[in-house]
Amino acid sequence: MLTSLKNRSREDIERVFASLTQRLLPQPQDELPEVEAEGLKELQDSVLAEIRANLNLDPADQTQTAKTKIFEFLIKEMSEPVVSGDRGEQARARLKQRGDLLSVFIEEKVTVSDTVRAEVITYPQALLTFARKLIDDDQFSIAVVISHMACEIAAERSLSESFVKKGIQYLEDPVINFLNGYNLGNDKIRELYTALTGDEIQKQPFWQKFKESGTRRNHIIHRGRVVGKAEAEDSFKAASDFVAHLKKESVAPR
Amino acid sequence: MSGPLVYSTNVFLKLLIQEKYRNDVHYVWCSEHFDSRTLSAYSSGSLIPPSANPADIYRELRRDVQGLDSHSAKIAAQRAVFISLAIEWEQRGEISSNDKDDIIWMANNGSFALWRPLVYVIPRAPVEVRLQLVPVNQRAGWGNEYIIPDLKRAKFDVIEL
Repeated sequence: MLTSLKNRSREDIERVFASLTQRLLPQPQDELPEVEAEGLKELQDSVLAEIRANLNLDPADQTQTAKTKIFEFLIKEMSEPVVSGDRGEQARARLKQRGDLLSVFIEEKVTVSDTVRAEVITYPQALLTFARKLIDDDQFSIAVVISHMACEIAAERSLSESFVKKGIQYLEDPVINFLNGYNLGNDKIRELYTALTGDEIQKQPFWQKFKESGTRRNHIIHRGRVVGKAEAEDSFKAASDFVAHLKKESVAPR
Repeated sequence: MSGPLVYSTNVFLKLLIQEKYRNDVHYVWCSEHFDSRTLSAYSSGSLIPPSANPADIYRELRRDVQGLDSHSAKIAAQRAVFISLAIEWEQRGEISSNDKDDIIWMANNGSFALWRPLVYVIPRAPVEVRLQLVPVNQRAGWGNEYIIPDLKRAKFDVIEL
């Protein structure tokens, strides 16, 4: 809590942060009502000085980097009540229910985080959607990488479910610790997957293309290879088939 | 001499938010030229600096979105914009508390695709009376910049380059 905002209501604090944000923008996106302008600037100045001190920024530092740090501080402070609690989950659920264009972008996250486990059902599909968009935007190499990210997350989910179904969930962590990721293109990992699920995935029609795509992905990451549209499309197709197969297997009785 | 169009670069999320929560009325900063760098060095339009030049704003945002740059200065500023606007709109009673939370949630958790830049191409004549010349002390440079605080969606086209 900033000293200059002590003893103020949450509403007041949000108002100060919001108006300070607008003031710092090169192109403010709204006009503040007159009633807010009175006495506000002095308070904003105190708050800004305190933020700079907290971030160890020189008071005279007007660089882009300094401004970005201040914006990030303000974002965190203004978002905290929504991001950290139930309100965030409720907002997410509401947005998903809308079914409009805005809702399309909810599941598409591009960083793999701890939230992946909570979104295992839709996350691989969201990544594939994103990979599709990258291909459409001529970002072929990264599309291949994202496609395989979708496959690894789908495989992780499938393996995790299988441990539970077999009643050996206590073995999941120690066994997985022996492995290097969840790439089923790796024979050792695939053999574990087959043992747990009974699914001989290597006999599926898409398998050869999936393996080729895995090699392509490795060359992009480790050798900086640049691929074209046709190869990206091949990888996307193989990954889509792979994810669809795992999804189908996950609902099949074992 | 002013041309028949004015231009504004905005992120996709802004278009969606204005459409959903502001009755499809859009608040835009705009310029008489898409790219001030292509103008004669002796024209006033060339005095618009990169931070206010629609083409530069577009290029920077596109680069950051394509690079999935989670430390992008431009995206951080845009994220702060929407969160602060949501708070202000709610406090003025213009949107509900749920709407505020939804906007804040999207600004924090939406996909990178929401930050991709769009160019608004705005025919000047129908909005001429709505163009507010930004006072020179509030501009990034000497070149003219304008605000249209209440641009209706039917008055502009959106393009991606």
